[in-house]
Amino acid sequence: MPTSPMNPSSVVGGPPASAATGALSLRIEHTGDVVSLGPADYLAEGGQGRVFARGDTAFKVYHDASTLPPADKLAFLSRLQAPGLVAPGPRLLDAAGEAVGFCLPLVVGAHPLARAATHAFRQRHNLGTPQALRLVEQMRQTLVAVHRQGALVVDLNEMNLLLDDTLSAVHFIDLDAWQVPGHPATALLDSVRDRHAAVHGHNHPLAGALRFDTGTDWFAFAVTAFQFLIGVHPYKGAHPTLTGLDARMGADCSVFDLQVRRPPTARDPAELPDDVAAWFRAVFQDRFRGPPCPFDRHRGRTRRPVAALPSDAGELSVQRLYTVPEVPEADATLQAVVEGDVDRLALSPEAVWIEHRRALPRPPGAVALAWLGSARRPVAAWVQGGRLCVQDVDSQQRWACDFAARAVMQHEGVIYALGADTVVAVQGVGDAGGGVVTLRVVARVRPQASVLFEGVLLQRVPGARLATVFVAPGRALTVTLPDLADGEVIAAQAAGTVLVVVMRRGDRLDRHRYRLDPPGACRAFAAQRTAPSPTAIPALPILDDASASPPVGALDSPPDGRTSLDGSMRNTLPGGPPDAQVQTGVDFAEASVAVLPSGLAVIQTAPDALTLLPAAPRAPGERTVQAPTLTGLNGVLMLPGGALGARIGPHLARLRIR
Amino acid sequence: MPLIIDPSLTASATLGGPTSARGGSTQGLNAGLKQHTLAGSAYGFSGVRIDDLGASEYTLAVIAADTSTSVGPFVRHIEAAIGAVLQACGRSPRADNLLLRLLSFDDTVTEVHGFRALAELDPAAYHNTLKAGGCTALFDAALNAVASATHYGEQLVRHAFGVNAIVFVITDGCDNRSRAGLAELAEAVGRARHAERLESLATVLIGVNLADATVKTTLEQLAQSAGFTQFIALDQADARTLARVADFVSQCVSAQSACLGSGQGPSLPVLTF
Repeated sequence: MPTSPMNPSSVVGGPPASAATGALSLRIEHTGDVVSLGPADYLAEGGQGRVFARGDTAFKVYHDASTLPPADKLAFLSRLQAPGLVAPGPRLLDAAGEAVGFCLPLVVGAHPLARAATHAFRQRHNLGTPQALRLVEQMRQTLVAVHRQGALVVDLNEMNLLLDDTLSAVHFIDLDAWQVPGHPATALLDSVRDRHAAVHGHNHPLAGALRFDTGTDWFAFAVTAFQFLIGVHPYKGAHPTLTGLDARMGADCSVFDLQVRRPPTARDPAELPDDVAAWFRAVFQDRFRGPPCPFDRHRGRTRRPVAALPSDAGELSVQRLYTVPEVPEADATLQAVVEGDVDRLALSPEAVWIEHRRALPRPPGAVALAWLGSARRPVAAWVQGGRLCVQDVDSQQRWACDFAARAVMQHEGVIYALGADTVVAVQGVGDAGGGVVTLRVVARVRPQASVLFEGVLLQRVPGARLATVFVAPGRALTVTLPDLADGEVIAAQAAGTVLVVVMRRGDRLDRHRYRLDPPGACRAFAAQRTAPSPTAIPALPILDDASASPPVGALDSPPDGRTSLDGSMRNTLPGGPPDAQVQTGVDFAEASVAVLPSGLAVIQTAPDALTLLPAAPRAPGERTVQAPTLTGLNGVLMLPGGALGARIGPHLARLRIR
Repeated sequence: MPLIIDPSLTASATLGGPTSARGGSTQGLNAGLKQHTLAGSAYGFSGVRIDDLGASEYTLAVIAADTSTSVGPFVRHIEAAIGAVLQACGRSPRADNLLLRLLSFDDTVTEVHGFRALAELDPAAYHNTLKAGGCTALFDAALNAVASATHYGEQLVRHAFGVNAIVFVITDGCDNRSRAGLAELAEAVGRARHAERLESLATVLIGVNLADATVKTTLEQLAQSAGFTQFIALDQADARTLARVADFVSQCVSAQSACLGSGQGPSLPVLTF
């Protein structure tokens, strides 16, 4: 069945009487060709107009010519370059020369995404999750491209997206409703409206109306993609007290909330790859409004996979992706890098960089970088004079902020600040002209003995240390770790649900490794004492596994009521415990860790060595990868798409281990 | 009066023989459906089992078509209209979110088929299905249509589905046969409106071939007293008129489905000629 490039939601019945009464003669602008459209060409009718089709071209004719978008808007839309856009073409002129519609490509045999989201459709067409993820990835790429070119979809919903007849491509329709420079959009479906979006101020011509930006688009994208992948709107299903979209969305109460019952036909979000599920959860529960990682790099993987580890005899390739252009290069070190939609932010000892442009002299002390707010502005945050400072590194505008802070850190795209008795996630509303910082409390802390590291806050309490791990944007889990009661914390970092802590105990350094598994149990824990030399770190055998060992910690008030810390793994070096001779210096004290979508944890254990930990306790044992090409390693990270990255000297590199 | 389901009873026992000779080519359309009874009513209904559903939210559409003797001259047009409704709704992007139930009524109420997914229904299967004859059990049919939507909808809601409903009653005359009365019908409509968590219910009474002003007035009063959302009076019952009725019904179903999840009822279209 051919489907028109217009919103099909109102397409019912056959041609209306008006369509059946005679031909419509229209002239195509520029070419001058005349097209006569009759009942045989009629395709559908919507609120704005009728659609006719002939060959591979559709003709959208407005009921009211005055509602046709202006020529400059249509021209802008026609210039957009992105896959799957059903963009307006030449205008259609009536006998008086007035524009009454436009031509556009015809999508043949299309299925509205709304229909393809149902279990029944997917069964009929054998449409599985891997294929659905590929289609959502196409949507993501198109939206990124559209944003780069200055447009917003605004009303991004399941009715405005079509799948082709082979279910291999997705098409965006109704572009004439999009927002482009000079032509604001005003309406969108209630089901994709962000209840937390800002509104225009009273001095704005659209005072009181929603202020659309890339953040509102990503929210609508998340709702639509989730509905397609899981088969239920993220804020539907049944909740004991909250009913209706307004209540549920206003309270950030999505199907990820344990009190929400999903209909039996909905698929389980746990079927999604971990990072995809984490992004949806961050958007729906934690008001994250940034773009997701690619969706198609993880197809076929399940929520808790067992990673295949490379063998000791494998090979390592290092591909440079970026180099901080600091001079002299020999002294340059890439200290942090944060990927954005288009550019990346980088931190060196001297400056903050946007790609290769020196944007800002490096502020004093620890600096956290992020893309902030729904406008995704590049900002740096630091503490100066006991106050939190936030500045747009592109426009140099300071954002209004009044928060007494002791430390900052960036973790998975979010800036966190440690205050007197809280850890807050730094959010904000603003644009290139400046903005206002808003703070969201994500954890309460004891005023004393709290130290903030990347991805984790450690607090000393009698008989233990509390580790608050920021497992998802704006979401934290706190675990009590008695084995960290003694000693001094030298370094710590958490990534995903893996935590690495380096402790100094006398003249000895111990590296502790934990894996928290929020939906189930904390599976892995290991304490590795210092090696005799940093260049001879052996692959450590796993002596115990999680199920056989006694609990090493307990969760402190698990927020979802089902998280527990129930096991441990302990590694010891062959030949007995190390002694004072094993002091290996600061390199060993680094605690850099990245967790890949497969669950594989990668920990830097030396200036030229990485240790790979399996995702599951019973997976093949850990491996150590050591190579001269890693010399200068100063941190590992997960790249967009789930690849392993590393900061090596001034370079950002992609690592491949076979 | 509370409605209680007794799954042990079958549709044939409660609907007065839906698989009788009148069943025609739609015999078997109720195969695999779960049978429900409505306490206090002589009629029950059937619907697809929860486990067999394929979407997370549904619009329940019920059409009750008069097949009394006076409908005889245009009963084929009614069949064609029902087929057209199916075809049009099948093109809707929300076709997989629609469950359709069809009743015919004369002396008794017959369930041609219970709540079924549109994809399982063949528009051509309705040809020669309806047999005209007998009186007009209008109240019984309308009551069963509304109560079935309410009852089935509540069951779906209990399983966390999103549900709303729309009921069409098409007749050419006044009631002269029902066991139930206007008060019971009004109570059922009122109960449906206040049914817990059923998002909305729209009820439309369509009078066709209403050349007699008295019948038209009576039906109008019935619609008002029973609390119907809309009453449409059509003087004709020819093919063109019923084709437009089909178009109108399709648009109403589409509008009701589109508003599912909003917590509000639809803005029903206007039937014009």
